[in-house]
Amino acid sequence: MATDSTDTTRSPVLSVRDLVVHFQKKSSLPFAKPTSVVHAVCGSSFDLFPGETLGLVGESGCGKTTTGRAMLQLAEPTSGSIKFDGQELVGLSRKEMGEIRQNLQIVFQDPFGSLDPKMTVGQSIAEPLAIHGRWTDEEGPGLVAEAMRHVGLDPKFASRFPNEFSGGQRQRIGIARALILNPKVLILDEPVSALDVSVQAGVINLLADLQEKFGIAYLMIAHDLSVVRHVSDRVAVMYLGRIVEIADKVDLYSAPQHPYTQALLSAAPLADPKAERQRKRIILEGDVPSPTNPPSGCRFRTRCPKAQDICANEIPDLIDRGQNHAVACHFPEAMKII
Amino acid sequence: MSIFRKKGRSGEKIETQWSTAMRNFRKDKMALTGIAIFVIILIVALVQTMLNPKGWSTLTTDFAKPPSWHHPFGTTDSGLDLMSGCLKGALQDLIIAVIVSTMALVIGTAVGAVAGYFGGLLDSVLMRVVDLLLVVPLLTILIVMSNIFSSGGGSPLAIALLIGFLSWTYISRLVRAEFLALRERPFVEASIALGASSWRVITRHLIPNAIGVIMVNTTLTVAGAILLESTLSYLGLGIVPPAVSLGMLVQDGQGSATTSPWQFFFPAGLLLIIVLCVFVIGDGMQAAFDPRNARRRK
Repeated sequence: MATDSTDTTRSPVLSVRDLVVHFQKKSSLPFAKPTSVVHAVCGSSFDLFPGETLGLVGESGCGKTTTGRAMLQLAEPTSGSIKFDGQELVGLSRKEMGEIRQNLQIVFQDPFGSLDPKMTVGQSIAEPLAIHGRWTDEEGPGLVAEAMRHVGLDPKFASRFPNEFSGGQRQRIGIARALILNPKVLILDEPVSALDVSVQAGVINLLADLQEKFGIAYLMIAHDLSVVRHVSDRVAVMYLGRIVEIADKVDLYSAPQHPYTQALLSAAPLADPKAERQRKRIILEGDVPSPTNPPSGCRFRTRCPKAQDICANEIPDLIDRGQNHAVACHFPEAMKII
Repeated sequence: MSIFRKKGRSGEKIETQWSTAMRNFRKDKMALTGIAIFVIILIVALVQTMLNPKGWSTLTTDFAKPPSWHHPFGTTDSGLDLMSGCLKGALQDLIIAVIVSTMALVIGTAVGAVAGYFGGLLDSVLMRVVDLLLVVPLLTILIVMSNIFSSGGGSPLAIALLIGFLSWTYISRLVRAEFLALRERPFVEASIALGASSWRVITRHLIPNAIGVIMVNTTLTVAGAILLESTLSYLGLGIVPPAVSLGMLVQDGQGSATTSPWQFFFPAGLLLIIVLCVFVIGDGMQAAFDPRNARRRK
């Protein structure tokens, strides 16, 4: 992927500030007050620069998918700001958002479910054109064929149905559908986690090629650390709805500062069996607290080996500690894990 | 989207849901028999009514004659040719059934789609209306309403509209349930993420994916409509002479069921055969559209 690391003088294409997404669990009785609130995302901030890949990692339920969905207003932000090319997205009407969607697309996790089984592949790929009124009978088929070639599919399969394709091929179809409008930003919601490992590499390399060719910025949501490491320029780590650490890939993997990142990295297996045997694993105690009732202060404090009184009382800010390495911890300390 | 024809540009054969369903359907001997009988009745009724349009209104001097060459189904007490009546009545019933099932299809799908897709308050209100129509026995409403309508002449169209207006509840519930499940599918979200309007999501994605359920139940509504109309006519609340329906003939003939049984058994038998045919066709479609069945049937 793009090799140059983030340059702060560039303006971000996607800028998220203090994003909060709460889900209200509705009571089954009408007119009753909502019984509980799920704090899915709680004050996340990050920037995505043109042409780069920002990896967003974290365990299931930490809010990374919700963050991605909020970008496209598939999940409604409770508060905060999402700016695309300087334009505020939160509170936009459906119509106004439609214009933005042409530049902001998403590839979904499930390649089997994200294609309409009753539509041919060509129809699915052409749908964005039709929705945005850009389909013409003269140019449309050519654009579809071009998009299919870009993702390594033979255009003659345009008239087939999704059930005739493998998972990897379907994910390519999903990517073609997202690409056909030439978006500036692509949100990749675990694009390879549903695929076989052998197929993953193909799709990831395809994404890298496409980025190089079209200069698209990726927000790559994933839980597989090795995939994220391979793909990303920068990596953000999420825990229970908050970003705890965000840094250039090399920095983050070589010198993680947040205790959660350190624990996460220490859990990723190493290819070298000798190194794997020698290294120290950080075992976290307990489970992730429920997002309906998150801990006060630092959300990680209930499981953090360094937790002090201050952690329960004060929410640690995400502070840049040099070289664009921001950490949200009262006691940050670089530690070599891998 | 009519972007690509169903046939591939390179000419290869494409397996659509329809072609799969039709292929399954063609293997279903029961359903094919049903269709064959149904079509034969329809053609005979059409031809007979066209060749002899006054068959049912021409009085003869043959009063209550048993079936013969001249009157294959016999005649009524008042000397009318029963075969003309039965076929005309069957045709009338089928026209009513088509109107009813079209109405049920349109209203039921629309209400079910809106309730299932948008949910919330709209869903609650619509479903309470459906509940209301379902708890009050349909026949009671029909009897009350048809009394009002009958004063206007009890025309077949009025009866059809009346039944149609009350028969969509079942389809709407099924479509709603189907939509509730479908709208959670990722491809619906994908379409919304692309910026598709609700109208587009419903018409391009949800309805095509629910078409099996809709088709099958529309077919079954045809049978229900025929039976309902017959019940109404039997009760003397449906079609009024000079129009004729099978239910009306059954009602007329039941008094003579022991003395001149053909007056009862021919219209009743025809009614039974038609309804059976429609049920068998509906069953066949159900099996044809259900992919789990496709494998079992091979």
